[in-house]
Amino acid sequence: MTRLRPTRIASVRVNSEVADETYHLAVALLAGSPRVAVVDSTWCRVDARGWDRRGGEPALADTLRRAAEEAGYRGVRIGVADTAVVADVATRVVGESGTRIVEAGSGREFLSPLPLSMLMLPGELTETFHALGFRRVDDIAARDVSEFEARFGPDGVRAHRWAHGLDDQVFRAFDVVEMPEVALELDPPAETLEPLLFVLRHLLARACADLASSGLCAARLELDLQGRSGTETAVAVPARPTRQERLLYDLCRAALERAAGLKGRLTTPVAEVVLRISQTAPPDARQEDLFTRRWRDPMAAAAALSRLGVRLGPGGVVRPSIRPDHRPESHSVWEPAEIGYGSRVTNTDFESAPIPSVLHLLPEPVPLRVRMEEGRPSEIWSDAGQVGHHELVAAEGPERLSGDWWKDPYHREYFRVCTRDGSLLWLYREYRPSGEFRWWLHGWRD
Amino acid sequence: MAHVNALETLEREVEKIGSRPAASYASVVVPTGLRILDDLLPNGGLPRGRVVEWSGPASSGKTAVLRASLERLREHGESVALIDGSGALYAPDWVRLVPGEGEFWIVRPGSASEATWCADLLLRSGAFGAVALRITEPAATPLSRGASVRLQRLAEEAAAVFVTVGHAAIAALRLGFRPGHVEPLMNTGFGPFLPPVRPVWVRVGKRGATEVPVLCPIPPHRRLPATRDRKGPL
Repeated sequence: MTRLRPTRIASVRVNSEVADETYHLAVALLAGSPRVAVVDSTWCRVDARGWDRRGGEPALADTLRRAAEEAGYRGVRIGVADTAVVADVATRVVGESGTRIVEAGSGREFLSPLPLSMLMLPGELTETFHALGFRRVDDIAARDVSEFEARFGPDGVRAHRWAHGLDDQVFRAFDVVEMPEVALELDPPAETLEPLLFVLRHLLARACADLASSGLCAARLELDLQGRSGTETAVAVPARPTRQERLLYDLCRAALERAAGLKGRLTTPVAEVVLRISQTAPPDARQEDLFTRRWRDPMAAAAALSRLGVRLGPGGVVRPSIRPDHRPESHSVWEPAEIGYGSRVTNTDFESAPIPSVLHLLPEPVPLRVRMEEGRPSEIWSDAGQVGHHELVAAEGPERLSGDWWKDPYHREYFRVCTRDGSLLWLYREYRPSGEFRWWLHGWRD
Repeated sequence: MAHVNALETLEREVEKIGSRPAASYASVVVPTGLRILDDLLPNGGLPRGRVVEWSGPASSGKTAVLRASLERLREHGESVALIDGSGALYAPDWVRLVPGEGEFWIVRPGSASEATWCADLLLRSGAFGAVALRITEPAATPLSRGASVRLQRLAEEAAAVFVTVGHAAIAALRLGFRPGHVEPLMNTGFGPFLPPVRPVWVRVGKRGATEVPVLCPIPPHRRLPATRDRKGPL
């Protein structure tokens, strides 16, 4: 039995001057594969699997080229690879009307000698990399991911993954649909949440029926509350696209409660409610092995995470994000996470991977007393007793940080210290404009 | 006729899979991928459906080993959730685990009681292969006996690995951590400096049990962000 390869994607680009309608090219490419994703009117990606017995990927490329040319396009460039990022780059290296098939598993080797500009990274990041002396893709791939992680955050990690030919993009076939919208007038106008919640179930039932008939799920809902003084909009975003009435009801209810505040009274009487599904998406599914015993229901995860989001607020389910600030407490933030399917990374070469210690920041720095010896901290304790008396066996620093002179100036000297019992602490000395300073414990490494 | 028989056989197989309780997952333990830790753990990994306590003083390497273990669990296809009940995790250290979309979730509840509720909800959903609950420094909040029993039952039903970083009244497996001795580097005129790595000792069971060292690199000073802000506002 022939098994489908995990992923093979063909990227197809045509000359822009002949492109007219967004989906014209995509419709033509359906001759080669039933799964076509539209990037723009001159660029599509095609699921390249399933041609093993029909001449393989060269035959697929020929079919796609013929289909595009018959539809009136010229200058058809085709790249086939394991991931979208490698296939896209392949279309850029082939000449006019060329095809490049990158063998399975050789994405990194293909990308390595190419100039960095081929990767289509964000412009600012490309400029920064260029300023740092990175010229070829291999310059990034050869370095450790942690270097990019610390300095550029998720963008840096993504660039490193792309340089390795890895990609997180979910393949979504194109579809054109009308957004479901249902409305209901309230007579008399509602002044509290209760009547709104009562009609909400009815509206959701109708919207979900519309979604089911079109085979779609809701990715974002908007509730327009029309009153005498204007329209107020409450937004609900499910963790994953869904048409589960109960889950959508919980989310809409939470959005309405946030809009109404603690007292549950609306700011103005609502005469009409409009429920609009402002974003739809196909059912977010992943092919799993029927006989695997590790399968877990992703919708159950989405429901649980949505409930957490409703209960804990936008800061409940989070992802880390780096900000351009030097102060550790504002250098990074936890942002609300967007929930979707992740890629299954197959890199399992962990034996040699290090286990670096993890930094913890205290919510509020703790004031410290410090005894200095030869310009370095040698003992620490706190008057209030939050930190016991510790003798220090090593201290590194200072790392000087200063800035923000135009709004909130700071001047700090950070020290990494190790106590006699092996604890790694992070202290700093903060100077005031008068020249006085105070010591603080900012965090520890665990 | 052969096709009908094959279909019936397939249906029976599917029914068997559907009726099989979740706890009968293929393996009762999940290897952490850290060989030295797997060799130490009973049966070579973290057990499913049990409360695993991860305890030790502050800065004893608990979170470093936890992060490495969760990363490996995720890479092996498990959906992983980490509940940061302490709210002290420093975001940049977790960037690599969350590259955009991913099957690794970080939950930051506002209080310790909410943290337990979050663990309850995530385990109850049955959708996560591993849930870790941090209820330790700076404010340690032990997991009560009632909560431990309830979460153990939920973990068992979900066949999930459940790790509590901090004391749990009831735990099937207790891992103890302690920081190893750090030998400072002496340099003429400067120092003493921190060495590039430090050992963290891990044991299974009570004090006195066999300990193994895990070497944890000490990262250099925090690297600065790419954007310079010293010139003032634009």
